Amino acid sequence: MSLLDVRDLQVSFGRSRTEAVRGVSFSLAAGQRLGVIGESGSGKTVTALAVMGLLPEYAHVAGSVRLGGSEIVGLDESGLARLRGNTVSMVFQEPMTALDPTMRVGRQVAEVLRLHQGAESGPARQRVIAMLDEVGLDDPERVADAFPHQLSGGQRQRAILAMALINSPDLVICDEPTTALDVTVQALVLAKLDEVLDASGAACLFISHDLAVVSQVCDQVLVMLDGRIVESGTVDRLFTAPEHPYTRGLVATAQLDRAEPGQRLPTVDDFYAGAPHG
Amino acid sequence: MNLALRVGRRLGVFVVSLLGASLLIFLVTHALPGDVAQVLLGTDATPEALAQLRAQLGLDRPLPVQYLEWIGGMLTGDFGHSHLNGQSVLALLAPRIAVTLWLVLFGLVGSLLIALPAGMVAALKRRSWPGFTISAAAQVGMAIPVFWGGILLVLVFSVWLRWLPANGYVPLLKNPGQWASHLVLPAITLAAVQAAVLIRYVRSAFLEVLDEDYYRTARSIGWTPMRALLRHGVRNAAISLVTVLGLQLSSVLVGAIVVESVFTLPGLGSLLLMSVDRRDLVVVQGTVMFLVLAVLLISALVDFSYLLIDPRQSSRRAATQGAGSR
Repeated sequence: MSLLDVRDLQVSFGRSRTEAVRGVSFSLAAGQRLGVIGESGSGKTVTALAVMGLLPEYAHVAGSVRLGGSEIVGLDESGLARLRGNTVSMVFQEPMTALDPTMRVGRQVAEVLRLHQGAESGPARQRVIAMLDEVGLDDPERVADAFPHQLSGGQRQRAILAMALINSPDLVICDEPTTALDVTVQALVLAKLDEVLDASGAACLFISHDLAVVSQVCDQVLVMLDGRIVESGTVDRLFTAPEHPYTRGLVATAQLDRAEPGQRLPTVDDFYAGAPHG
Repeated sequence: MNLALRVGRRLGVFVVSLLGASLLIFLVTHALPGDVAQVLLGTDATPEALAQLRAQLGLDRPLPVQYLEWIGGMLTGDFGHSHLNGQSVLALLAPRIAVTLWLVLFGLVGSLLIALPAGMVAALKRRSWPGFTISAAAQVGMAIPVFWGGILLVLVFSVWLRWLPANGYVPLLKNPGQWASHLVLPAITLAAVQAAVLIRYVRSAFLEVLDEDYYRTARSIGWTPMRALLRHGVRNAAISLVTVLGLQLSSVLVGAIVVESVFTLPGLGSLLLMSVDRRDLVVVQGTVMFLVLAVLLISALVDFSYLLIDPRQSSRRAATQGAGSR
């Protein structure tokens, strides 16, 4: 049985019922890593939030999201709260604002343990420091005692990674986790993510607009466009034989090093001019 | 910023505000028509008698001289003496400060006890009936004048139910039970009116938190909305609420003055109203000056409370250091 099973998921917002996700289906086995790629507005973050049950209350959700055997769509807050942080955790895009500015980082990471395991603060601290060390933070003691504003973006994102992984969830959802970081820090955080996912055996749903980034962490990829999945397959297959014109555009822009010198760089628009009307 | 520098600068602001306030108080009280000589001698006093009394009381001297004398006196701890009965202003103030202090304290604490949970629920349930109900109640509460609210409470609890006294005051040490029963209605009146205003601030402070990324993070690790807000929202909301509280303080004092006169409590407010009525300017000035001093002191304390609430305020230096590693 798969760990995550999304069937015909549809999400729309507000009274006008603006459709963000229009019938998305996919599944994820335990330990599997799946990339979701698409431009902003393609519905990838909304899909992730639907899996977390974190969509705003004015969202209308239809279809089914089964996580570890329980149905998420329509589950009440306390049921969702039990799953969050325990079965599924999430790493968000903006490390600068994702942590509580008034609380020390170590306490925020330890909260996950206290919440789901009732851990005492003494042993919890030991595990927090070990986890901060594992995600590659130098001087984890100092990081644990620091407030978020005393850390850099890369340090914060790794602290958030520690938070997402410390309770050994079955599934980690990463929503553009490195987009806000500069390129060198990005590579470092991705390498660490790869490492800790390997160590914990957690499955990962990795959302990005950047095919090159996705290919560093995942082997399977979904391509989303206008709320639908237009193509899926292994990263290798997508790179070598993209079927959808939009995917061809993505592949070309992810391989800018292959562009002919002196020629204009390719853009997605060269391959795909937008959804046909109607 | 350096703490010593910060304290020094705050102190400077404090002294300048105090001086400015004293000048304003002096000018405004002297712009009032009529004077204490008129009050003492009555309406059919001869101009000669009035002039003589004014000279006796020192009221005929130039205003700058009177001002400097008043300021000088206060610096040495002498707030002057009432023209009416010669009592020292400080002696007049002393027994009344406690009354107003209790009233303001209970009013403020009471308003927070109402506004914090109500504002929080109003934010969390903003799209359903608890939110609407609280917001509507706050709106109605704001429209009710303090004195009318007080009279309403007196009607219900003193006249109809006969549970609590309608007016008067008994000092705490004389009879604690009586003291409390005389303060309940005034404190509730003041608290309710303040709470109606505060609820809106609390609600919007928590609404801001609900939009923050760290609130979503808290939800994503398994906190329910209410517990996420309690755990990560209160302290963050407090940063903006403390400012509002500091600003609200003067309106609490004004409210207290009105409440004192509704319930005939012998506090600073009733002393102030009585002295204005009798043109006992020295007492008016002294009382207002004391109130200004209290407000300024508390707003300075509010300023420093940020240091305790917001870690970003106290550790600017570490911020630049932290980015060093990798």
